[in-house]
Amino acid sequence: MSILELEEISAGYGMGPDILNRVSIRFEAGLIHCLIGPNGAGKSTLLRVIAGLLRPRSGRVLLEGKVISGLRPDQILAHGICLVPQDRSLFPDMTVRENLLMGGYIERDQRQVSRRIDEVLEIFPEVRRHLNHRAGTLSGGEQQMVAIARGLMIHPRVMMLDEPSLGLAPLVVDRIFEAISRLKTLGITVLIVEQNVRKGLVYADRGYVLDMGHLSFEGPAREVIEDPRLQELYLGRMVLSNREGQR
Amino acid sequence: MTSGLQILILGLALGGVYALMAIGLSMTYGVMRILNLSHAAFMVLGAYLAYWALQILRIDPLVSILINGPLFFIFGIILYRILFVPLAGRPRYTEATLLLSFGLALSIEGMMGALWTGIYRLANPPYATRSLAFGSFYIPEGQMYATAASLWILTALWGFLQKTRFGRAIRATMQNRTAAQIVGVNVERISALAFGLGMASAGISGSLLSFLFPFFPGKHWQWISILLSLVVLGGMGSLIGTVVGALMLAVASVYVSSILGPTWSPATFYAALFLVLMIRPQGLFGKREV
Repeated sequence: MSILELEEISAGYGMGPDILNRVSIRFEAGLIHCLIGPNGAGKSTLLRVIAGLLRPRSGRVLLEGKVISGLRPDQILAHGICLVPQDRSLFPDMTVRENLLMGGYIERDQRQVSRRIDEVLEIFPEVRRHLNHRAGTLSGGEQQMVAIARGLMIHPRVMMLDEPSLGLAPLVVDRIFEAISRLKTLGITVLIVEQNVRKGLVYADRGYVLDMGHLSFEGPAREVIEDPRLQELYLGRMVLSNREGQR
Repeated sequence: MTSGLQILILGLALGGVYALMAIGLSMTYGVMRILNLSHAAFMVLGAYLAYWALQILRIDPLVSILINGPLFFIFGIILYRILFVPLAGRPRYTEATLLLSFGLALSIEGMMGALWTGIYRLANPPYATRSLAFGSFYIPEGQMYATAASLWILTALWGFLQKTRFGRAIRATMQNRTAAQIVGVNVERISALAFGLGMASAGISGSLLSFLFPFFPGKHWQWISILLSLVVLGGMGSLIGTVVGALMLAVASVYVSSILGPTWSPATFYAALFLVLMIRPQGLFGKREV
């Protein structure tokens, strides 16, 4: 059953051109979905539209059949959709504990928030020893862990991660993807945008290839890895840009 | 000449009040990137209200804090919603708000001139002319009460920002506005709250100003210059920086006053402003914008 559905979404920034051009996608409940595609394909924009940070110019976003596009970001969050953006967006001068508290901001009952922190620390025990450290002092991988943990504070149904492996050492990347797999065991639907195509698809159930604001093709992640169109998309571009460079 | 330690005590006492005056300016900038040039004009307005409350209703200026605080808080929220919200999302938001608040300062100055003329005023509660001696040191009684009130209010504000949900949301919005949105902070509502608190601090500062420093409608230009230099020294948008900057510059200005004479005291702030901008433009606690 699809939990999240995009219908003919077009979106862009300011007066600029459409970054997304009538994109329609369905995401299945409880699976890990990996969105890939070259730079500028509109992957991050797609996540921003779902999170309500960017209003689509046309089209609708549906959560379990209910329209959520047009709602404020805090309202969409209250529906159980959270975003971990590319820059992790932690509060650098706050401690990790305060960051987690902020993750539970929409929950008014403070006792409930403290209980959630304990739950989250059970899922991510590695975060516990940093609780009283300022978030800005952590390493990239640690910050990514905290950002994911902070997202968990609202008991999300859908968690979106924008390039979780960006700027991290290979060993750390494995730890992050292992953590993402833990999300799946909690029944959370995961959407990942990844530049690290192979890594993303290995951990994902389904792959979606965006190109120039269109959904180019989709399928089970294992088939997408093998698909010749994928190689064409990336390699073709590279050959083209090399040729231009030689001119 | 008074002893160095005596000067330090007077300077720190003065700095406590400066810190309260500047904290709202710093917070408004930190949360919304609004540089509110009318902040000191509202301070002077608060001073007039405290002055007339004493003259007509016999309300002590220290008690008038309880009136000015809530009054300016509500006024600030209304003002923010009417004037600043329509500008939100403009590409040159900070510049637009700078001009808006400049115009606001002029309007308030004009209004105060029309209502209360340009005569110098100074509220005169009984403690304004007394001094307390501690051994060989002395401190004007009014200054001591004003400093105590400032420290109390700054502590309350600090507690609010550290320990409450809305306080944390204000700090979060100062550190990363997008991130605050991502965790579900309604940043527009938090902005209105922060603007209201900034205005409340201006109103309360006005109550203290009314019996500490003589004022007239145009006096706010000198005050805003002083406050901006404190905020810039501390680092724009850093609340701790603003308090430290206020204490440092207040002490420096009292030293300059005792060595070179009181007329040189205001120059301390402008000299500091120049030096900071040349040597460390991000201020003591500020971060370079990337």
